[in-house]
Amino acid sequence: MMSFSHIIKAPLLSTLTILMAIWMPLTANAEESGTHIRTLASSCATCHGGQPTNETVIPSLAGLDEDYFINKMKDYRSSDKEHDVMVQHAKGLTETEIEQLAALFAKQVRACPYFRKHPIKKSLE
Amino acid sequence: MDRRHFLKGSLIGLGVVAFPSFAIAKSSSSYGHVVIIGAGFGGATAAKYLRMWSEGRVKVTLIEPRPQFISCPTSNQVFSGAMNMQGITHSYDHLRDSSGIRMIQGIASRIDSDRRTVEVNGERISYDRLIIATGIDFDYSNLPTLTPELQATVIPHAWKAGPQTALLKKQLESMPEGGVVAITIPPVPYRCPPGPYERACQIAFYLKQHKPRSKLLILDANPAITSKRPLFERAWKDLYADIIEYQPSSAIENLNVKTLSVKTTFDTHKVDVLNLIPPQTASRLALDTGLGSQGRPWCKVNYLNYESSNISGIHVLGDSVDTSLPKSAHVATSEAKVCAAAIIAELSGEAMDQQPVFANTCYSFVDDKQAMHVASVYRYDPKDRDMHAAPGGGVSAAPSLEEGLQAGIWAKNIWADVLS
Repeated sequence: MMSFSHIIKAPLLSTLTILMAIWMPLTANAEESGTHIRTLASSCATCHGGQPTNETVIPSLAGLDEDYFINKMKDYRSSDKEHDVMVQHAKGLTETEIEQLAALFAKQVRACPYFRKHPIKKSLE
Repeated sequence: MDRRHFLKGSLIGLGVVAFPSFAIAKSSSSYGHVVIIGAGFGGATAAKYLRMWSEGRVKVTLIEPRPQFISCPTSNQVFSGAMNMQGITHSYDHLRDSSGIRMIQGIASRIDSDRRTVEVNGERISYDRLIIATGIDFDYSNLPTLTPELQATVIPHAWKAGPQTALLKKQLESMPEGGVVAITIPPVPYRCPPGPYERACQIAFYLKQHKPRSKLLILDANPAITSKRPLFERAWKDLYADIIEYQPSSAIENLNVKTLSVKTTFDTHKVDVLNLIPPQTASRLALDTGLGSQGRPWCKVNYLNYESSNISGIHVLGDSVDTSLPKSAHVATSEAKVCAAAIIAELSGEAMDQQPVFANTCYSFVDDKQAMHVASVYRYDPKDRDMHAAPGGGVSAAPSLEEGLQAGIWAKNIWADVLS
């Protein structure tokens, strides 16, 4: 196993402050939401995809507006369409879980296949 | 304060900086080594998420005999012609390379739970945690004449997708018009509850298009259709009334392998193609390792981390688990994620989730384009330490083209989740 002192000493030699600044908030976000919600969200992503592969049939959840997600799930929970797949899932979750999922999905960066290829991406970098 | 928090705190406090990929690479073995046997839906998912969620701190070795991933979900569509073998076969390359997993092609054996070692290809590998995700095995003990050679060449189960799927497809294509196909369904529990009934739809669709005077006989050991019952009954009546004959409570009692004659509780049938789906158990490796429950050939686990109830340090995932959870791909991947998160928490000295919850969605195609689903959320109850279906779950009102499209995207997304 890697010795503890190695991990501490090595970064002292580094001067890449900007990269650290980017890295830490991402790690902190993942921890804030907790493993309970992270695991549940990953179970949603099984069907919905971590990143968009198809937006019309099963929408991706990454980067969805927080309020939009909560409202949509509330609509499903109060719906009487008992055979609808999302109504069935929404009714099985708690309101707290829905709010925490909304916060987690909103923080995820949505990769847009079109945007990735478009020349405007370069001008924004 | 645990090591991880101390590390982070000290870095921030000192105002020091870190190059993230460097930190990850340097600490890649700091939490320990997890060996995973079986790279199906459960095992491959566990490998990926152990690496991702530990940010590279858990070292992962994944042992799998097959060179490529072959998906059971959507493999029934090979029989209707809506899917082909290429479409259900996927490479492990991306999973291995992008996640930094050591992948060994071979068959694991000699698990020593005291020394925490496992052997593969003559190499003895030490583990801190072992995950067994080796799925199901078949119990042919009531059918002594059905030798492994006959299983591989004449009477396929096609219940592990691969050469068996291709063999059954070929037999259906070679069968003369007017022939009889039989599917035998084992008693519950078995892998993929709606699977045999979906298969019946897919074979009947093929017969209707190409050999419409042929018959499909379904010999079910169970007293009734075990999943999506009204939906399958309706689909068979609407789409395949002249082709499908369903016989419940019809376990196989005897089999003549030369004449393909099947004797059930009530009748004897001579058929042209026999898809015999045998009774199932947890994988032989899991049972031989001593992970089976008292009197049941399945493995009891702790649902908080999927550790075996019998042997500490060994976790069991997916279809081998002794559970009321459906034996589906989505459940296997969700179990793998709960297991991965819990192992990381335990190895790093943090608390694991005490109330895991996850979803299951499973689609079945009734023809080449229309599908229907069953969906539910499953939640851990600390009172009985079991997983229970949450209120609200259910099935489709009817098969539809829209759900057929969803099923296609579901497959692409779950493959991407597991393998990329």
